[in-house]
Amino acid sequence: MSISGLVVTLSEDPGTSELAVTLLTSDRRLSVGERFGRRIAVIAETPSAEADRSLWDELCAMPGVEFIDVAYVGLDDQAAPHSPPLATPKEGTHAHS
Amino acid sequence: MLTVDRREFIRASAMAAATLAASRTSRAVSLPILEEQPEGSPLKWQKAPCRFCGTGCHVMVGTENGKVVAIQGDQKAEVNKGLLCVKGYHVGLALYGKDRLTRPLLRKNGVLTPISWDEAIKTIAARIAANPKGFSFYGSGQWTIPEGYAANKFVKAGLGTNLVDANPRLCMASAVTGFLSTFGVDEPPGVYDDLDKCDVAIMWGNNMAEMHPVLFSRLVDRRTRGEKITIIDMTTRRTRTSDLADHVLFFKPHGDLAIANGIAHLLIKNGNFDRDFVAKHCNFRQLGTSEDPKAAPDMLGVPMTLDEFAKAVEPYTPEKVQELSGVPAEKIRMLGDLFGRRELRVNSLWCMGFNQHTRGTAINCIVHGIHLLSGHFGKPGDAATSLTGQPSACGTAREAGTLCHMLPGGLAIANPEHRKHAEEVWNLADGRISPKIGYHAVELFKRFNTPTDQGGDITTVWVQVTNPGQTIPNLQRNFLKKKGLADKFLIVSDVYPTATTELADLILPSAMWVEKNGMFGNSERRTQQWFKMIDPPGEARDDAWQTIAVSHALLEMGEAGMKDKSGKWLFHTADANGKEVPIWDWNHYYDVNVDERLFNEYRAFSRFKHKDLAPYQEYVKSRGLRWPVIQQADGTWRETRWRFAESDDPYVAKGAGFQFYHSVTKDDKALIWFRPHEHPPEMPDDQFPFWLCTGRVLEHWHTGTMTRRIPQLHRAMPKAYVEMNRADATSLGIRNGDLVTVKSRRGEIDLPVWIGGRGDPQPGSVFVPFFDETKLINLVTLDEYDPYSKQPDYKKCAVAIIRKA
Repeated sequence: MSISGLVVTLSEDPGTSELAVTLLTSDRRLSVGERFGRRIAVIAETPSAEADRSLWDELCAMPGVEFIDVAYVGLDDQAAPHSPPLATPKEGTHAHS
Repeated sequence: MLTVDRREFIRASAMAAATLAASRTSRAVSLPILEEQPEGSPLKWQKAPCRFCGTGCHVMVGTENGKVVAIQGDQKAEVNKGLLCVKGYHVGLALYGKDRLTRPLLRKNGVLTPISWDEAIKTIAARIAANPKGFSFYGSGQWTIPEGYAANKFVKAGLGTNLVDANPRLCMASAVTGFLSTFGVDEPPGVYDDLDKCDVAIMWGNNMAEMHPVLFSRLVDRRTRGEKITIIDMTTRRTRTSDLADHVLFFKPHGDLAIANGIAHLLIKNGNFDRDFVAKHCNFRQLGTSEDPKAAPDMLGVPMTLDEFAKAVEPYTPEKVQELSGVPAEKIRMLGDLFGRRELRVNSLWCMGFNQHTRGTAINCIVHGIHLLSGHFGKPGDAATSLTGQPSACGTAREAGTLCHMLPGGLAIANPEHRKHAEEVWNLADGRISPKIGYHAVELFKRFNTPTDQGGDITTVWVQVTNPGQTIPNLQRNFLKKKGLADKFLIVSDVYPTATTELADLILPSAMWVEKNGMFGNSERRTQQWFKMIDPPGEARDDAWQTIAVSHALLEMGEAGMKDKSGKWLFHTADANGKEVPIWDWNHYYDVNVDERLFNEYRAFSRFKHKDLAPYQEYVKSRGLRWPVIQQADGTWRETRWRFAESDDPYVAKGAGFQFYHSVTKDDKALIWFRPHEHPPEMPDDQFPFWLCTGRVLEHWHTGTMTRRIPQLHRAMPKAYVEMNRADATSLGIRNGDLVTVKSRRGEIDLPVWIGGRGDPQPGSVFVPFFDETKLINLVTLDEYDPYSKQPDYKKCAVAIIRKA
């Protein structure tokens, strides 16, 4: 279970920002809180780190969403950390040439 | 599966955090404050400073079943008062990346092979014993104070060389030389309380909203409470700091030198400098000449009179400063007027913009000078404050002296009296500490990357807690050449694989943060302590233990330098009954508190330059104390906020008002320096027409080795980019997201373009963050450095931007 507190910055355009609010409110994975101008508090709750990442990608691509800040993360055993793809040595590998 | 109660608690906390963040313009948030632990809670809460930046926020770390499971801001901490930034809230996750290093690995026939710690320690000891003058430590402002002190003693007492340097050479060295040149002693006279009292806060090339967000929030929060505070952002690119500033002044690279001289010019011309303060407490200085035309004049300079100083700054009229800096003349006059108003409290703040600068010592000196000239010094709110990026650049590198020219306590290798004092504290034979200064970071890696038969006299380097494979400038010349040099040996102690471990011959897994005891020293002279809370993974061990174990291995091999003049091992440790504890044996390392033993020995150095530290146990009880810390008649320990001011500094003589008791001129006066504007060593031309500036982003801490393994932070900022000005991009036919090559005389990398994003460079400039190890911007940067501090300039070099088809 992954729970995050997010701050979503909405677009300046009233039409697309209202569309974004509608989409956010109707998504069962999200709980929408108070709005302060173009910024709106949202909590995201997903069953796994993979689902969390998928939700993140969807939010970033959502029309009317300009930016997302992370304000809180619940550290839970089941939210397995994700390592980014790094060019790093592993045991048994040769030196980087 | 989360219980309902716990799930609801976390949901409520998440919503509270998001709501507070959404309702404010700053980037710091606070969690619901928990006065008491819920009854029956299985979590154990303990204090620690955050692992990340030099602000030194305190967190409460919740552990359960040997794991960090929760983080909250420490409401008892004066630094952050329960607030944290987005990195701070995620600091617990930094421990749990999937690829933590857990076993020593030795490269055998090109293959990284697990070995035992015993073999690892013996390998290092043998390597050092074979050529001790070819060995150098390279450490870090993330070293804890005991770790750095141990490495420093190992080299300077044990090996009799000064071949240890640390990455604050790359971030704070010019701040050090600036303080030394002005006050005769390092580190800020003021404290964070100045942020709460100032009327004007000036950011000198310092994106405080992103880099020190908790501190910046102290300024912004004052506004929301109705206080009038003017924020001036002097910058080479628009950032989030600019968005919250009252005045944004864009300046050209090195324009800061001209601007500061322009303020001095106006203070003199308008006659509103603090004549009384200057007469009583300041001398004037300028650079002398050097017999060697290639060498920089010495840091002592030559005296000048007030009239000579006035003449020197006379050319820096607002119009001339506009020409040199790009800042309009009326804005220069505004700054001059502000500094000339005695009733205002003015706080100047800077970080890498000043320090990563080929004239970094100069600009540090000049800004101290205008604060002294105008009398904006030593009163709450009146301060010139350098901020640090690392959690213990001050506490470890600068105070415990882990630089090639320093000793603990701010003492200098070049000073015979200081070397003698160190020999006394360490019980060494006279002359044991070498007078020969070691190699600074760039020189160290240059020599390590040069064939031995061509003068590359450094053949073994031990890197602890830092990532030079990503941060050394001009990587192709100064790091990657090691690949072809078979006789060079690189040892790396770290927690994750990095760009540095890519070329390591021996990799050692290290304990991290609350997996070990530790102490840090933050930007406001606050020394902080924490206890080990959980075990490190696998076979990872403390960096200090690694150093101590190698020292003992050398002792067993007969290396006499590892004993003091009484024949006692340099790290001899006894229990309460006086019996030696074998701390070189990991199974016994935590039988005693080695941190306490090392720190209390180190304390003896701290009094020499009035940087007094309290006993270790005082830091256990507190959320840090700002030195000098002096014991009172009733036995309590009192910290100092404003140094050199009679109102608060116990070392200032009664009636003196202000006393600069380490005065360069030995008359209790500070120095106001004249330093001219000079152009950078490499400037854009037809072939490389853009300025490149590099730096950081809010989500990632430095080279990203920790934060890129935190899913939320990685998602928020997954990869590096090049910020371009919209008009520049359009003229080159480049659109947002296009891939371009950023190319300099030294190297090139490909990056996606970001136009109109979080930061917006001025025309003719681009910006690239350095957190992404898949995009090594330091292949492109310049390795020129300040002649005094030896700190390289990561903020200015010339590049071309080439759109890829």
